[in-house]
Amino acid sequence: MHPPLTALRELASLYGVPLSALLLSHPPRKSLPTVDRRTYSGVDVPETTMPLAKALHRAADLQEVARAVIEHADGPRFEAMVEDIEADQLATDQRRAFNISVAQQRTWRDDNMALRAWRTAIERRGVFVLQVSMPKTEVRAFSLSEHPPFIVLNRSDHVRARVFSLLHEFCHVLLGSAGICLPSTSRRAMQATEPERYCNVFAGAFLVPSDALRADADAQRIGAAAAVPDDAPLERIGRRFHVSRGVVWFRLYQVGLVSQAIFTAKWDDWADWFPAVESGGGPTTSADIVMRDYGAGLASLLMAAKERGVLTSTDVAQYLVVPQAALPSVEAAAAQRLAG
Amino acid sequence: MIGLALAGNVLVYIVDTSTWWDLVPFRPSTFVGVWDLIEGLASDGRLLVPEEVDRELNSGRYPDKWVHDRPHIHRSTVSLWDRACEVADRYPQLVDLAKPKGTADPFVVACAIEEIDIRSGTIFPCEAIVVTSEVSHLPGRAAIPDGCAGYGIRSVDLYGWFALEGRTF
Repeated sequence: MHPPLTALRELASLYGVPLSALLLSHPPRKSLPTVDRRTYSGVDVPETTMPLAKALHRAADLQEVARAVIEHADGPRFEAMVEDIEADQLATDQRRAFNISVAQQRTWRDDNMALRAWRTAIERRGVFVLQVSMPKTEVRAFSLSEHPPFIVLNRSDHVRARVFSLLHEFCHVLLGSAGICLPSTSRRAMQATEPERYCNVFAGAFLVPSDALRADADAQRIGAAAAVPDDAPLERIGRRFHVSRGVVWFRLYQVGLVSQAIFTAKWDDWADWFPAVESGGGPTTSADIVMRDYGAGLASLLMAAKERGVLTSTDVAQYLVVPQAALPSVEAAAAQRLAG
Repeated sequence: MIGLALAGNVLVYIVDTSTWWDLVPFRPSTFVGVWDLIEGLASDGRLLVPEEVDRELNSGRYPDKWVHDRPHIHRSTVSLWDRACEVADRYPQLVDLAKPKGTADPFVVACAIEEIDIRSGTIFPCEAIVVTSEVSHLPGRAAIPDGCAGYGIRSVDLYGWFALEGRTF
C-alpha cells in the first residue's frame, strides 16, 4: 500500500528532491562533497540541520551538472594555489589580479553593490557562487573545492558578513581546502587554527588593504590617539570598505595602528557582531532571483550549454527553478553582470 | 488516417514538457493547422499527458493553458506510479536531483508503456510514441529518449511528430 500522493509530494519538498526521487527503490548514489564550514562564533562543529543538508546537496548536485557541462566543452579547470605564501601576501597578489582598486571599492554605493561586485569578480575566475537561506544560528558559508569550485553563502546573513564570508571561502578554494565554515570576525575566530585563521587573515587583508587603511584619515586618528576609540570612526571605515567594524578593528591591529592592549580592550567590549538582517528590497523578477540565488556564473554556463545544444531550455529552466519564459532575461542579466 | 497506417497500430503520443514549451512560438491565431492537429489527436484519444507534465507547465502561456484545460488527456500520477518505479529503477539517471521540480521523465516513459499494455488486449492495439525535445549529451546523464529506447519505444521531437502525422505547415 502506497502512502497518499500528497504526503509523498510534501516529503519530496521537505527533502528538496524531485518527486521522482521517491520512485527509486534505493537512495540515489551520489558522492557527498568534502566541505569547509564557516559557522558562527562559539560553534565548533555545526549541526547538520535540514536546511544545511539541503543546501549541501543542492550545491553538490549543481556542481555535478556544471562539471559535466564544462568537461563536455573541454573548458578550463580552476587551479588551486600550490605555493607556500603568507595570507596577507596572497591577499595582495589576488587583489592585484582582480584589478579592483580601493578607489573603485569606495564608489560602490552600498554593501549590496559591494557583495555583487566581489561575487561577480570571483565568478569571472571560474568559481560559482550560490546563495541559500539557512538558519542564522548555524552556518554562514561553505565551499566545495572539487572541480569546479562552488561557494555557498547564507542568504539569511547580514550583507557585510556575506562579503567577508565570500572572500574567506574564496581563500579556501584557492587553497583547495574547501568546507563549511563559521566565518566570524570574533577574536576567537580571527585567532582560530589553520586554515581558518589563514582564510580570515586573507579575507581581511583582501577587503581592507594595508596601504589603504594606513592612508585612511580615521585610521590615522585612531592610531595617533593611542586610546580605545569610539565605535563611530570604526563604523565610518567599515562603510568605506563595506566590512564590519570587527574586520576594521582587527585590520587596524594587524597593520600596527593599535597596540595589543588597546585592541584587546576594545574587543572585549563587543560581543560578536550580529546586526539585524536587512528587510525588504528583495529581487522582484525571475532574472533577479536567479542572479541572487545562482549567480551570473552558473546561469551563463548553463545558457551557453543550451546554445551549443548540450542542454535544452527545459533543462536550464529546471536547474535554475525558473519559468522557461524567463530564460532570455536571465541570459541578458548574466551577460550584463559578467561583462560589466 | 496516417496514424493507423504505419504499423497497423494506432499511434498514440505521449507529449513531454519540453514539447509543450517548443510549441510556445506556434501561436494559435497564426498556426491554426498545428493546433487543429493537436486538438484532433486529443479528441481521438491519441494524445496523452502525464499529470507530472501538466504540473510542470506553469508559465501561463497558451500551450500550458491548453493542456490544463483538457483533463481528459491527463494520466494520473497514481495510476502510473508502479510503472514509473520500474522505469526509475532501470534508468535512475532519469531522476535528476539537480532539478527539484523536474519530476516528469520516468512518468513519461511509464505512460507510454502503460498505454501499450492497456490497449494490447483490445481490438485497437497501439504504438505509443513519446514526443520530447530532450537529449542527453552529457556524460553520465540520461534523457527520456534513452529510457524509451530501452523499452523499444520510439521517441521523436516536435517536427518528427508532425512528420509522423504526415503534416507540413
